[in-house]
Amino acid sequence: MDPMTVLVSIIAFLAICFFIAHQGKLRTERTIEDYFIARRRIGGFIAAMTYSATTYSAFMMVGLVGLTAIHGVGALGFELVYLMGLMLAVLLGLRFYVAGKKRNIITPAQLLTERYGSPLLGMTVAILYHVFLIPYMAAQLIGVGVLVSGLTNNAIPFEIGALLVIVATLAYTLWGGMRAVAWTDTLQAIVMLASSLTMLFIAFQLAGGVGAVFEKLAQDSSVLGVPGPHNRFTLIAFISMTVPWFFFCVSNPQVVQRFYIPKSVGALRNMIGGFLIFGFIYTVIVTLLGLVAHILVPHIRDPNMVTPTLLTMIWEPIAILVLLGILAASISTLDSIMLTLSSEFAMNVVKVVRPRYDELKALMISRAFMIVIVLATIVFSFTRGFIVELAVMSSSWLLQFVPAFIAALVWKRANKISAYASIVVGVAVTGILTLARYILQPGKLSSWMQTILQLDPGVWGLLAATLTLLAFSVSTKTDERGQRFVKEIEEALRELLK
Amino acid sequence: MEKLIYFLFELVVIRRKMKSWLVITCFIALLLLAYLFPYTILRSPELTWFTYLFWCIDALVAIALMFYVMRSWRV
Repeated sequence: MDPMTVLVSIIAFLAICFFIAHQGKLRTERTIEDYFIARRRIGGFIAAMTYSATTYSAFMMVGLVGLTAIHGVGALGFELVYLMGLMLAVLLGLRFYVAGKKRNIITPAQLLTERYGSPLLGMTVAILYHVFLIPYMAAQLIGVGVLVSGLTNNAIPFEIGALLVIVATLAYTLWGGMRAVAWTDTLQAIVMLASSLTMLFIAFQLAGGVGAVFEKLAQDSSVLGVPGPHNRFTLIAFISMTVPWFFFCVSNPQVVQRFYIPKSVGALRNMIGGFLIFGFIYTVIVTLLGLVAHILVPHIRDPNMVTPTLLTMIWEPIAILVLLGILAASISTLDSIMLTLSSEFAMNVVKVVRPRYDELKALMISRAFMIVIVLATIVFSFTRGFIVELAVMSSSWLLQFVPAFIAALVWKRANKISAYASIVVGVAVTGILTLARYILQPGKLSSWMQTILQLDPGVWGLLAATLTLLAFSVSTKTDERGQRFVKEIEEALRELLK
Repeated sequence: MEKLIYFLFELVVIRRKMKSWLVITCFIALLLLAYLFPYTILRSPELTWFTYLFWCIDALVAIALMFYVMRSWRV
């Protein structure tokens, strides 16, 4: 691709994002609540779009297309099981929403502070969010840099592409807060869907039409089933991939924070419903594209190279539209995480360490901290290597907070001690098993130990965290504060749904 | 099969009041099917082609169930 055309297109796209963000800024007051969650005044459509764009990263158009093309339809099952996990959002979303309104909660970790009466717990979780999510942000940035440099034959170096995107994203997020993020996410979600649909249409044409594609696929049926042509989707691998993602809507703070932004219960319903529709359509488009790619580029073995190779086969303006779609997916994930992490820092670290700071001061510090988050992301992304491994693991680590969150909302018996113990045990088990996977040699292990290590460490961690929470909750004293919190939510729910 | 179609019709169109335990049970069954069906019955070569379609249908029914649960969120 012509480097100048690519550069101009990216800059133009980022300029449009900034213009939209500025419109958001004009409507944003200088309060923490307005900056981080738009004063809980976001309508259903915008909320659905920001939820979709935040959830779906560049992994969809790059990773998932490649995974389907090389390893078959198991990739579709993996994504759809994730989408089924939205049942947790349906069952708990309303509770998050009500708790947020009743207790003026802005961040997910703050909910733990309120429910378990422990600012230290909230602070610990907020800090761990940073540890687990900054590598994930770095991986997004690596994806963007590699894609741009690859498509321009390194005329735009990795570092320039990555820096351009992260600086622009930081600028508009810092400038406009949640309104800017939600509005730009809406544009980005539309670009993601439109570009992937266009790409699918063209890919079908290149492969000789829908009929020809399915005729060819029928001759190589292994790609249409599990475990796929290279045994990638064995049942254990499938469970390992799907369990952390099934809980994604409760484990990832940038997604949980979306439960606080809708302006009404109806808007919350439209947010979840809109995401379900968007997610299903986008998943089907992306996996169909993967199946067509299986026919078009059968020789490629690296899943991450399938989409870039497809892009070299199509008309340049369309390729640029798809590139912008992938950029949009990365940026929309980056901006949301950036904003969420900085709000976690403001509410669970600054406000706890310096409770006397007024709103403006706390807001200023958290905005400055956003720059620190971005600098850390840049450093991590430029070092690459092990950081990608950490990023892949982020969903497994975040999984360890799930029992404490679910219990906080539904179980009166759960208390501070059980929440702490659950998180510590979950993270420890995940950490030990992750280390064991790297250190131990499979050939020297007994078969049961090999089976244990084949399953994602996060799944064992979740199991241990859940059992620990149950055991500690029933064996220790229930605290009144927690009981009051759950009762308050249940009463508010009864009132709302009358 | 007829009974199943009628049940789904009732669920979505007539919006029969389902007890919450039944909703959860249905959802767990759908989730288990998403793991079990493709790894057992659909592994036979004659049925492999149906895996993609099965997962789509399974997810769509689960999504319909979620919309059913959210039907009363109108405030």
